[in-house]
Amino acid sequence: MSADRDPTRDRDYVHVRDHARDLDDALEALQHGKSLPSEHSSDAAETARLRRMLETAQAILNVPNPEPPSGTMVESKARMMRLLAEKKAADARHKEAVIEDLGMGFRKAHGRGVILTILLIVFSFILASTFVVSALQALPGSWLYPAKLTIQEIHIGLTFDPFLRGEWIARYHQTRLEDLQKAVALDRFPQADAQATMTAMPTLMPVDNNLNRSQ
Amino acid sequence: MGTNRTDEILMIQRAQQGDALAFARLHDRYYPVIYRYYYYRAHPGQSPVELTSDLFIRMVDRIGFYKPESDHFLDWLFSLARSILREDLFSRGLRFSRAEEGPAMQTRQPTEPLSSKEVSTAEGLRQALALLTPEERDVLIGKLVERRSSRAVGREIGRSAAAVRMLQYQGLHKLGASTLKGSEE
Repeated sequence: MSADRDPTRDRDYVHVRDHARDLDDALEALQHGKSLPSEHSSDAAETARLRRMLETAQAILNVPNPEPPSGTMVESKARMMRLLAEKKAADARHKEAVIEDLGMGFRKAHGRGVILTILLIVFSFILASTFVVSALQALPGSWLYPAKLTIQEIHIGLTFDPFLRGEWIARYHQTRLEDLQKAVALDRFPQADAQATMTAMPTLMPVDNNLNRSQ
Repeated sequence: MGTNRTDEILMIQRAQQGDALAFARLHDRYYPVIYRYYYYRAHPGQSPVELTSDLFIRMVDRIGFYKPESDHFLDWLFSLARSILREDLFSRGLRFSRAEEGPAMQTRQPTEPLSSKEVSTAEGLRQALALLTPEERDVLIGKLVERRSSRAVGREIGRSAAAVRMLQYQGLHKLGASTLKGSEE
């Protein structure tokens, strides 16, 4: 008689919760292939209700799975694979676009320009360094010697501290005298010219005179 | 079981790297399960076949976000399936109804009895389930058709395991009463 009534309205929450748990336990047993328990509760009406629910559950468990219409699975897979291929192509295009935007590839004109400019700067730097190092080793009579003198003059010109400047002037003066002596000793410079240069030297170094004046 | 899980994770990882064969295998393995999910949950006017296909399209897009350590792959697919169902309903102008909002796909009046014979087929079960509220239906399908745990079903519908058991009790009570009436006639 009470089978049609909503159990949650008829009973208090705790009872229903307990019956729900009993039912769940019985269903668990049912799903593991065990037979339906004969009695679940001391209440005969509730036992009958649970039994009916378990029979319904058993009927649902026995329902065969619905089969998808034929061909739909193949169509769905083909659609998925098409999308996958499109996605892969889009990813590849995106990757290429990112590389292109960086401009460092030879595939892009301005990318080529950047790389050539960098190579030119590096090559010029190496060339200049080699020239300066070679010039610093040059002796009078060599075609690189004027470059050495120019480098020394630039160095002196860029030294703004008067005391340091005086020091460098004296050091270079000494270096030039030693260079002349070496060149003469190696027979790369005529002795007479060397003598004349050494005599003229103080007058060739106007900075020296300035230093003397400031002292 | 452990090996199967490991195999599945490896397959998913391959799919995450874009392996087409791994995608094909995942599709073959889960197509019938997802079709069954939609078969019992789709509203009139919705096509389970289309929804199933949409799910696998979504899977291709989202598989990168799946983390094997946080969820079982099938549960993750079910959550995707649920959001697709919801979006489809929104696009059709139907609300995704919860129990308190009333059954959205009720095709048969609760007073109309069902025979036990009717419930023995998938179509009969679908019609019988239409008597229930959406939550009761989700619980009965999840627990008895898909044979998932109360916890997993609860996670999907946003309820506790205890609430799932109560909904199962209510649902089976309603169905039991209906089938009894039907068989008595």
